[in-house]
Amino acid sequence: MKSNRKILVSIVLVMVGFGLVVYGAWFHVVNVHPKEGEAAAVETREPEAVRQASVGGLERDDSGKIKQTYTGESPEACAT
Amino acid sequence: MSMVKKTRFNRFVRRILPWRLWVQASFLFVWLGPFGLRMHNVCGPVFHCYACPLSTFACPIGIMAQFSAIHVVPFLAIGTVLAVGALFGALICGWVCPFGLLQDLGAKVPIRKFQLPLWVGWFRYVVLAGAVFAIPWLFGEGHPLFICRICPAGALEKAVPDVITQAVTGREIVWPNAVKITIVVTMIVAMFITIRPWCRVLCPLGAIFGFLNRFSVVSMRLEEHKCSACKRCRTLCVYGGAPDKDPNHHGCLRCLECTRCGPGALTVGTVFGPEGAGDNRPEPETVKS
Repeated sequence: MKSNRKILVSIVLVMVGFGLVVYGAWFHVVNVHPKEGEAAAVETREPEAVRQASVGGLERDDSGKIKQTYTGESPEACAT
Repeated sequence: MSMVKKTRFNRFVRRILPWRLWVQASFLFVWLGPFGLRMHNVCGPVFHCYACPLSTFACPIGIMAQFSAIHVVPFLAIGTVLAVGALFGALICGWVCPFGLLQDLGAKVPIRKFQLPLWVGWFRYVVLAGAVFAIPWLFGEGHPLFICRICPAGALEKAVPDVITQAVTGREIVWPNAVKITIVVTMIVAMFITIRPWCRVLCPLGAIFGFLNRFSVVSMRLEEHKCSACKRCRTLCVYGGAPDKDPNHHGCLRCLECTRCGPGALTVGTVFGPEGAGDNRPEPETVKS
């Protein structure tokens, strides 16, 4: 690959990566429903969704809703 | 052809090369949260199970798989891996990853090592596409081939410490299931008889970083005018690579051992360095007869 093109590709990839991080950290929200009941979904920002996913706290039910797998205190670690 | 001067970065690399294991070990202070930090809302750029009681960050591969299972795009995990991979490529695997360190320590056991062919690195893309994205997306996180269920990092960093803790504290020992035990035993045996088995054959994070080797800002270069075709770099490469043919091969873990070759033809630099540290494979019209 030619040097200038490689510099361009590298910079674009790094910037896209940082752009995704910024978007994920500040703008992206996930609608999370509580485990039980028909309560409205809570808009959860992605960092919080990441934390919940890291303890196995999110699942997708048959209707496509994203639900918490627990009520009250979140688990300490992922069960898998 | 103009001579390319060794950069300050290159001299630094030469000096630090014998201390690679210590560099990897010092990064444990970041990944193992010595102050009890559990910043699991941030993805780390390394392969380290978030179920490990000491993990500081969330594992990007685990998050990608969990988000695939709930059909949500994991912007944070993908962005982190893309940004870090586009900056450093597989340098993260060679110098930073704690699971790589574990395997490097296992390889120190003086047993005859089996050499794996370089093409086995393609399996990593199968694992990435299958166990991280496709299977979680199609079958959810309950599928037995969901990456976290077959991940040796999870088995070694969570299941083993759990059993040890239970034994030490005198509680009833809850043994992991047969699959986890098989994975742990296989991984431990593989660590002793070959070098970096997980990284080279199955690691999905290594697949991404390896793919980005060719595009990363930090890059390997071959100064062809210095290369004496002695093939010493191939001897130095414990992963069976041919750095003189393709210094930025996707299977390269960037341990940088090949930069110790006699003529000093292989160097590490950045794309902004002298002549650009590009993909220096000889182009057809420049190959000398």
